[in-house]
Amino acid sequence: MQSESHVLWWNAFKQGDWDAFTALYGEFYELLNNYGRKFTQDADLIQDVVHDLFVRLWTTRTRLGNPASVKNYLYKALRSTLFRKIQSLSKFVELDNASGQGGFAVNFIPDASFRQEEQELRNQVIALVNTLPARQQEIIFLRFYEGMSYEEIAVIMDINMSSTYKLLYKALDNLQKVSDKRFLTFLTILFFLSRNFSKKIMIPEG
Amino acid sequence: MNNEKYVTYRLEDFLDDDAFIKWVSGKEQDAFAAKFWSEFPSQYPSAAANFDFAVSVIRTYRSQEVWENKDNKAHVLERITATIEANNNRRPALMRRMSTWVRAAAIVLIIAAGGYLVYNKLGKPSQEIIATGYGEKRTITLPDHSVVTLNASSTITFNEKWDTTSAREVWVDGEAFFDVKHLNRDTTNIRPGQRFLVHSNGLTIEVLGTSFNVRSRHGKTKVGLVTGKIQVGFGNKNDHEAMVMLPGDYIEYADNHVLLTKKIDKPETIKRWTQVPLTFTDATLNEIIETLQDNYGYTVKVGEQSIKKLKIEGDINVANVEELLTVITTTLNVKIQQPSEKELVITSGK
Repeated sequence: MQSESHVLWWNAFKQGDWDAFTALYGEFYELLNNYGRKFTQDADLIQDVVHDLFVRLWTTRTRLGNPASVKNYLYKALRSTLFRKIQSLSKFVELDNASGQGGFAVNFIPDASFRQEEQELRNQVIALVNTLPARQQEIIFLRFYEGMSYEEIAVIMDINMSSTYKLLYKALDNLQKVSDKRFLTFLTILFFLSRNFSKKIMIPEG
Repeated sequence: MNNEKYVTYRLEDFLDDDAFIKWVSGKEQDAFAAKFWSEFPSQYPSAAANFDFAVSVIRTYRSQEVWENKDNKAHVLERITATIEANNNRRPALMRRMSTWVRAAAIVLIIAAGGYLVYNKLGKPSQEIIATGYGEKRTITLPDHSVVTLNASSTITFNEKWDTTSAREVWVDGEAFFDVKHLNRDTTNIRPGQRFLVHSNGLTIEVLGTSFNVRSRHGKTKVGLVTGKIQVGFGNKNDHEAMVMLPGDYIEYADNHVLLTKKIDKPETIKRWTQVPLTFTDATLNEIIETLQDNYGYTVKVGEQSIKKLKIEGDINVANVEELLTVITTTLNVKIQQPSEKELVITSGK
């Protein structure tokens, strides 16, 4: 999946090639903004994070390695830069599980061009996804939107891919078998419960 | 790739399958793998229902807001540059410009018009003319061992023998992807035989890198650079000066005028046609129709002109026209009829 030009740009950039650096910026700016947007609606914050990320890339370029995927490397860097920033800006330190902080949400496009039967499925999928806790939603995003393997997702999110996603598959599987509304309600409850596992504990700073 | 395990594939198995996920999210670059998945329902009918469901769940999920923040792209880069300059006493990179690594690879898209340039060359004895038919692609090795991939319904013309005293020259009508060999990395000291020139519809593209794409259709020339460096000359009929293009730069040219200059968002997609049979990114129905006509020789009629503006968000990577038509009818509110083999009628509504 690693693109030929990404490798060329990366190697040239590490040797101090400014054009290659701006080419990387040109290539990944939109993707990084789109990923960052899922964690926060604050456009200025996302821009600050992209700024910090690229400044740090340039200043540390001689020490950088050769990532298996430049894109995944940047996603991981964006994520950790963003979390650090959110943490330092926040009055409170959010203690979630070790995987990270911040919410995660996608905005679905209301789309009339879908066929009638698809519209029904669509409503169900959206309802289901929206009930998932942030980190599970992030896994879904990286998996189904970015098309990444579990291994890639585990590296970016710095987690051990456990049975988290299995829960969703089970739910989708049931969605396929049962169009019964009551069953869907049951699923909603199930995911509502699962959300409580990542209960947030707020403690004052200092 | 005929594997027993697929016969009993459940929804869960599809969602667990990295190769399937890669394909359905439009990230599959390998044509063979893309073909496998697009033919899956007919190859494994027993798992077709689960396959279809998995595809529609994921396509449904993918119809989500994309936030690219393009308006601030230039501004954020300015801020990054300013911060770096403030941090550094010297600016080594800005002085050094293009390194040899980047110069070593250039990818360019050129879409130009008219075949008259090519036909002017016909009849000269030492010239090689290679043309592809509808739906056909060919890989050609040039006299200097540079490799060209020629897309459907395209023509390339060049001298049979190239010597080291004159520039290497190629004429293109249609679309071609070049991988050019043996360029001098020192651009200030290039001998004639080291120059590589591509002519298309009044434009001359001088290649300062090694790989690029050329396309020539509908009276318009489009040049887009992915990596490396090229110089575009506009002939002597007009007063445009030669233009050096850097990665991401894109121009459109017709009737001796530059119509448009801009930056391409994802320049990488320009050469994707060499790997995937049919590939589009955020394409309008109009763009898809043009490809069906140009590359596959279809005659396409639309019920209402307005439906040409309908857009399919995201990437489409499909193996054949049939699969492409399925994607169109499942994602857009249109109906496609096929009165004969090479005729399509697209109307709105189901």
